[in-house]
Amino acid sequence: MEKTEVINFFETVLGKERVVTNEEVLQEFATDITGLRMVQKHFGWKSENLASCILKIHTKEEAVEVMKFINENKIVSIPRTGGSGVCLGLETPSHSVVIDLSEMNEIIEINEDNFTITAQAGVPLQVLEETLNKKGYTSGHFPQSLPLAQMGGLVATRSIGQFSTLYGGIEDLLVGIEGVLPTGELVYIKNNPRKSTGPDLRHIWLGSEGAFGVITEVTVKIFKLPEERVMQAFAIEEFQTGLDIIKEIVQAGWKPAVTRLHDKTEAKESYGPFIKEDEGVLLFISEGPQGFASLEGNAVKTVCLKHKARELGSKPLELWLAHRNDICDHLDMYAKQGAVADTCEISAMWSDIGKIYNEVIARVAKEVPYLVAVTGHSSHSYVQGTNIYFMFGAMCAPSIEAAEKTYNQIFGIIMETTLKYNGSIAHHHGVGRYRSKWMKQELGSSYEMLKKLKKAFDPNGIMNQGVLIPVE
Amino acid sequence: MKIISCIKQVYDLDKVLENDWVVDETSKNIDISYANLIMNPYDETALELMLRMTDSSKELISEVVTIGNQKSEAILRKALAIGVNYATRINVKEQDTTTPFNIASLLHHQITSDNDIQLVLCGRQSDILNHGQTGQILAQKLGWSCFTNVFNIKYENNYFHISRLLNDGIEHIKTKEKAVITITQSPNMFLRMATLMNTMKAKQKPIKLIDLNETAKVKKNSLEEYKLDKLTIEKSNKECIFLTNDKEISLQLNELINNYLNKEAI
Repeated sequence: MEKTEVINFFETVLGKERVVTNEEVLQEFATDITGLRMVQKHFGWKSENLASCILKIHTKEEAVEVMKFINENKIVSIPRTGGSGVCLGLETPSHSVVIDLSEMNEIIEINEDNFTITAQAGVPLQVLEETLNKKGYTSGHFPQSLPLAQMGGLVATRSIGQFSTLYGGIEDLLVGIEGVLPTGELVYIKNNPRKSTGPDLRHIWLGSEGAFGVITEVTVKIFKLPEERVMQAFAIEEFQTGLDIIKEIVQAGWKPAVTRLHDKTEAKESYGPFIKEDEGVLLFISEGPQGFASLEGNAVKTVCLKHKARELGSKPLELWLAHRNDICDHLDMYAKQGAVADTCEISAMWSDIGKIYNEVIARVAKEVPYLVAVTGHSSHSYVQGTNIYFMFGAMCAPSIEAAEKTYNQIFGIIMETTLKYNGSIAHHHGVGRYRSKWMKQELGSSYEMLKKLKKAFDPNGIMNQGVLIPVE
Repeated sequence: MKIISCIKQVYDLDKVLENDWVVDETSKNIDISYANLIMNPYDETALELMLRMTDSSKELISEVVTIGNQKSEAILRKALAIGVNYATRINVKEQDTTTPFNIASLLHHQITSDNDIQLVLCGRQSDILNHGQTGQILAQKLGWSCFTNVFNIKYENNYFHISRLLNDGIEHIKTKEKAVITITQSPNMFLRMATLMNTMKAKQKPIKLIDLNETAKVKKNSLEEYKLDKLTIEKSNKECIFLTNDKEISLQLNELINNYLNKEAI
């Protein structure tokens, strides 16, 4: 089908003003906020693969009609809400269509009996949270992208928030969901506290990254705003000591909402005046009903002191709370300085995570010629293990190719080392297009399950092609 | 030929929490001690401009100078790590650096001891105290030209090409003369980053230490002393008045301005 015919159809369904073909806007929507593209844009990168158009969807019925047409005509489509992806998951192939649900942004219902909130895919998380706060509730979901992200994308990327050790990740928060399959059917999974009715179909949507359809509406849990909060920071001499402390705390059954361990480089950058040379920092926030936070806080303190951690009071936490999302206002700061900079989060079992951290830090420092810094912190912990969030920056020759080479080198070291120790290549940023080349190693024999699911749901291969499963 | 960039270590005031902007009971202090120490942002721009000039010409040598105690050597190490040739710290008692006149006097002593210095760069102002006078006082003491509010400098064909931001436009100047230049922030001009390797190497590089307390080269009576009386925090006072009726807007505006000026005069 000719491009003009395709656009004419969409304009008939949505109206001319909601089918965007302006090249500048298409260029803006051609990618997401992955660090690689930030620095490449600084060196002159522009996408050569623009979408044909961006469709501004307002209703589920429009989404159904559009998806049916797209599937029949085998047009590659990219679902998108907040655009805050960091793995090239939103990069547009040529002649694709962006299904933009960011204007589908109504909060449908807050149910104070069942403690749920239902929102359309385009509701910004910040708006959802502020709405809940006014009524004395919270979503418990605080990713760093909170100022930018929207509900559909948060579910699609299997996101997680900074208070996850208590409230859980999005997979723990999702109650019900509605979406449109690649073949055009509108499907709804009803709200329920728990059920045993076959595999949990919500998990097809959780982490789908647009490869299994378009999410139109979500229902997530809500929580009462905590009555009590206890914040405490500690200094430690060794990163492994910090991991041991966290492991002991969570395995004892405690769940401090914020459980963070920053290595010495990050600690110096953010908490320099509080610590001695070469110390790392542990941050804990306990919160809940009256009495709960004090009880948990005392237990956390006991464990920390047992391991000879040094008390730093609550001021570091106050600073962290105030400035934790500042980066959202300066996403291209390092790119403007000509640095290839990004983050990469992985996870592993307790027996392996320390080895991954040590080996990555050592290898990157040794092998990357113009490294500026490589750091790591743990921010989401479980009884079985934790994540490490690596942050890196390196200078490179001022060219698109040099930036890619440097980026690939650093990322490659992190991925290889993680897989070597049976860790997972992505903890919460998703796979996108960038990490899909490691998915076969990541999933091993279960990769076949993913391929079969993809084929079953998207027989024409039109949904966000290249994400999760690389294009062969 | 040498270019000197004067750099200052300041507290990162962006990190100070809103609730902590409270004057203590002595009315002389606000606790900002928990904020990180960083290089004054205007000085960062000056440093980057100096390095771009030395990148473009082998005949130019770069030096940074700071005034302070040993803690302030951190910004000198950062400067050395990004490619500055030499670093100097003038070690003084803290009270000697409270005024722009004192700072300029200390810098004057350092600069006049080196005939190779052609250009002195300073940030337009510092994030602490914000006097914005040091560069101009220094130029007057040196008897050199002074260019303020500069956002770009290049060295080409033995001339310094200077661009200044004015209220009504941009001024371009070409000079060979010795000069003190105060630098304002420039959009998209960021201080380059130091690699890990260069940061490690910089730890071993020498920093020249000048202790004016011992040498007493600066005459005692040339140092002024400011005594801090008290600190207060002015409450933010904002008001918005909507002017309606297009035909009478200019009259309404005139009346508002006159009322404001009369109130100020009282």
